[in-house]
Amino acid sequence: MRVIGKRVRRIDAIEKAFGKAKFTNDLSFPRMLHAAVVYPGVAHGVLRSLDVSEALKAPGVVAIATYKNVPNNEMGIVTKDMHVLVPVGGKIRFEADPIAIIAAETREAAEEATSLVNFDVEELQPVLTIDEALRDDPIVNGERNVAFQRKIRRGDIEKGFQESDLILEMDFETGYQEHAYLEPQSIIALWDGDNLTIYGSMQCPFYVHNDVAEVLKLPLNRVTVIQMETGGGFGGKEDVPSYIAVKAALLSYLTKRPVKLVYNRDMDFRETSKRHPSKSHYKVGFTKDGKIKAVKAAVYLDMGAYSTLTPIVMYRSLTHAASAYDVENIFVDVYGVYTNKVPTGAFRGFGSPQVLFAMERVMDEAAKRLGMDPWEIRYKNALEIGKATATGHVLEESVGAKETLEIVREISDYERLKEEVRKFNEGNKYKKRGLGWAHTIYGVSLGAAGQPLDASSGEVHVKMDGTVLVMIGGTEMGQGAKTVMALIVSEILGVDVDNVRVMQPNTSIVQDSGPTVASRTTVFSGNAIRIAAERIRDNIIEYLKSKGVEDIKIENGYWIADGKEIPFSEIAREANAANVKLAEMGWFSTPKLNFDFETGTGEAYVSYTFSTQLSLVEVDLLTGKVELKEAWVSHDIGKVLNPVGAEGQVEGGVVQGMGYAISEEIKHDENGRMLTTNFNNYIVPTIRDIPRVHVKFAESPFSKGPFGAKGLGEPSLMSSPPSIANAVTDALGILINRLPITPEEVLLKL
Amino acid sequence: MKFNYAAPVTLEELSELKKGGGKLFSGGTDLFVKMRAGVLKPDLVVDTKKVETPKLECDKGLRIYMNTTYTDILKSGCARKYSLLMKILLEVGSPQIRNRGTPVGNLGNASPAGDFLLSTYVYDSKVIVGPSMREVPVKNFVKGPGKVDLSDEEFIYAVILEPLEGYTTYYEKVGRRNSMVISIASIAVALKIESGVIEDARIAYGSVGPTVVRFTDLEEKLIGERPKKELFESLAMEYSDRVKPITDVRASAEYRKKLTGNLLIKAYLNMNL
Repeated sequence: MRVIGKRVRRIDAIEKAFGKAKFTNDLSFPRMLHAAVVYPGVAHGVLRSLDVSEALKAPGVVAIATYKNVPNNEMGIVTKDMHVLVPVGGKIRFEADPIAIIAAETREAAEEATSLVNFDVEELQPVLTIDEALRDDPIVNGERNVAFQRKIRRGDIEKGFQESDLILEMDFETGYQEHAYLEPQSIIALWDGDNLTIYGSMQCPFYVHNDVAEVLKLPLNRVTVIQMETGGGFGGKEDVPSYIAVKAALLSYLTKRPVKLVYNRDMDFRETSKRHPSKSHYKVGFTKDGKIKAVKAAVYLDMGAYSTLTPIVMYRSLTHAASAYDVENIFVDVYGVYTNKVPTGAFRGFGSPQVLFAMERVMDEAAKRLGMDPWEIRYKNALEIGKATATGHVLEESVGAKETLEIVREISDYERLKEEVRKFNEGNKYKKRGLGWAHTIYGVSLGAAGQPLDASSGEVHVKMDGTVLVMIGGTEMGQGAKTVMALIVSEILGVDVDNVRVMQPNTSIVQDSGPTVASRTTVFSGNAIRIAAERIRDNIIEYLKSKGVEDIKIENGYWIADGKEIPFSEIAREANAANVKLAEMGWFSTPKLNFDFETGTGEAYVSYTFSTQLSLVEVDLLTGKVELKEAWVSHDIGKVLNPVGAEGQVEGGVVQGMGYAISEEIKHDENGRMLTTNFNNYIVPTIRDIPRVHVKFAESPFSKGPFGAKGLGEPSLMSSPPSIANAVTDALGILINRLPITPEEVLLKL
Repeated sequence: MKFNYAAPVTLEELSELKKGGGKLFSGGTDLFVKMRAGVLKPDLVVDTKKVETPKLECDKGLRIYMNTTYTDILKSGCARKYSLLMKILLEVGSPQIRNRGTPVGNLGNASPAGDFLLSTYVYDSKVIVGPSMREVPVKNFVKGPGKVDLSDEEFIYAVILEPLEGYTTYYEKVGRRNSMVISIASIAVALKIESGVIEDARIAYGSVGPTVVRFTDLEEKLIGERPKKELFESLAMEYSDRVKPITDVRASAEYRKKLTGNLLIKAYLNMNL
């Protein structure tokens, strides 16, 4: 390998560091209007009247759209349970359920006019918690508040408990998490009377493409979506940009002028998705030597006012409910519950952090009761080739689970560390330290529930000067996708990484490649690009052979033809002049997964990433504050393509997981209005909070991944919350079964 | 949001503009946040930065003038001996906020969570009020959350901190993260110990009442005593009982009460008396 696996600087580092990269808000068009959104500010009620006449007279206001102007007002990913704009007579289901949108000459004019829209709401009792929702009085949406269920029925759960020596029953709760991407939601729409073009900050341009076309009843070949540089997504820009784009597109459609809609942080907090709060009950049986015999779980996810991605999120909660262990008897129910709060949806981990936290806490409690080391109980139950996942998927390759456990034990010098912690605690009355393990699994890509979306396209064009243009349907949102694509092309064609440009995705150029989610881009876009680049390489080799060259070697930046070094630029020029095909498209999909949705069993995902984290925390017994001091982490992500990017992903994941575990919290008032709508009271970690993170990868290659790679974007987060909770429990001896672990809760429990 | 902007160059103009209802700002780190949130909707904002004032004077106490930023103080050599102040200022917001924000603005904002404000109570500070240049002790100047002793034409010209020589000090701010955070509770302590006996004690708390609080009757209980742990533990309980914090989005009153006592114990433990 020439560049794969080497430490390479990311290709977009300089332009981003110097502020040259173009984000949506940097774009401007002649005659462009600015949009603002009108919210009811009431969590539950019926919209009785809506009058925009006064707002229309306000200076600078050009157009106001209400439900009457939407060609197709029904929206929803799995079920059509939401409106683009709430109609009169229809229900308002959360405080930021949009009722009108305003286009004006300036942003200020649009925002000021929002207070001039007059409306009446007949208020209903808001449903604000999972427990309230379960009473079904009142109903938030549809026919029942518990609107969705998914289940696993595998093995014989009762027999499993009968064969157990220890049965633990535990309850867990987890809170919201806000994505806190640097760049808020941003869209510009341009309708010229025939064609619609959308520029925006997004993960999934093909979702926006489909949703905007559906709402405006336009054919897909008249709508173009271009992803601009995107300042972070973390799942928050999976489906949400569709809801923003339809608003801007509708106003552009009505005015035939470009419309920019950029959310401020307050709007972004109130209206856009979050990680699902959850409640779960676990009953797990163990033999006295620590083998898991049975896992029974009931998990409730608070999906807010609309289901959006929840039914798909639930699939991941379901398949990850037993964490990374070999268990024969499994009985899991996952429920999606409507409440009168912001709709929850995709967030790095997608329904798995809630259940991985619960199961990993159970593992620690079991170890304690059985007198085992928490590492040992995990190692004993860890998956290997030939063993089956929670859904009964028998693993045939790429299972580095045990290796990640071994690596972390080694790099942390675990036995010495335990002794140091013991000594520290002996010598300190008001500060206590603790160590906590987590061992987790993550299904790569969309899995059986998302198979219709699981294929990707990629195009590679070699220009005659030897530079290369790459077009993919996957997006760069800060995770480093462009660099990985450039590395793959560079490795195969022998072109310098610096001479590869990866374009922003454009739905009129690249075929629908599914979403950039589920840690799938390296595998899917990466493979598509690999296939395209290999074809071009083969075309050039065939040409060189036709000229009588016998021995061809490819180096970084040049080719060696019968011992003669030729720069790639020269090869490209010559091949182009000889009419060699230097543009190819690659298409990648995976074989169909066999999965039975009735029993929740079968091949859930194409492959799995395995992760282990050991966290060292220190708790201040006088303030209740928890500090993550150090973390040791190993992930089996198959072949590591870009070590710098991969380490960065892990460090970021550990820190975002830490925020979820100890500082980030969304609060509402008793009427369902959010109180934490800015970063002064929604507390994400800063540089002064982050721990030392030690990373070492296990590389168990995946035969269908590009050069053996799997996915890392999400699993880097999931090991962090449970290992921190386990460490706090270890430090204090009190059970931490709720996230976030607030200083208040810790201090009042002591 | 539309409003007028004025940038006077003399103190007289400044006073006139304030009398006419103008809201003063220097860095704007409080005013603009409130305007953006819709809490304040002034017709006129008055930028004080064009008024020429000294930055700092260290000869007779530490004089901090309007427009002097936190960074100005942190970078100045002569303020360095105010070590408690330095510790406190390093916990203000972030480097960017410290580059813009000013202690005089923090005082005028009079939030019970104000970091600089906490220090003024321990340094027995005086406020110089313009245009008359009358001097008011800080504890009389601050009347409640956001309320200060200023008439319509008056403004804060400077604040004077008296040096604490021979004192041992402690400062801690409790928040959910280690920077860019508004305190849940904070404590600043200064003790003067001579021959093993406490000669002077100043204990101030932030965010546990409507203003920064000091209870001189409780401080007096320390005077003449040897600094023993039991003494601080019992005093901690008294402070805990005495304060009347509120429950807000950051924390509950119950937690703040418990913290109040615990922070005094932490102060004792960390001062290595």
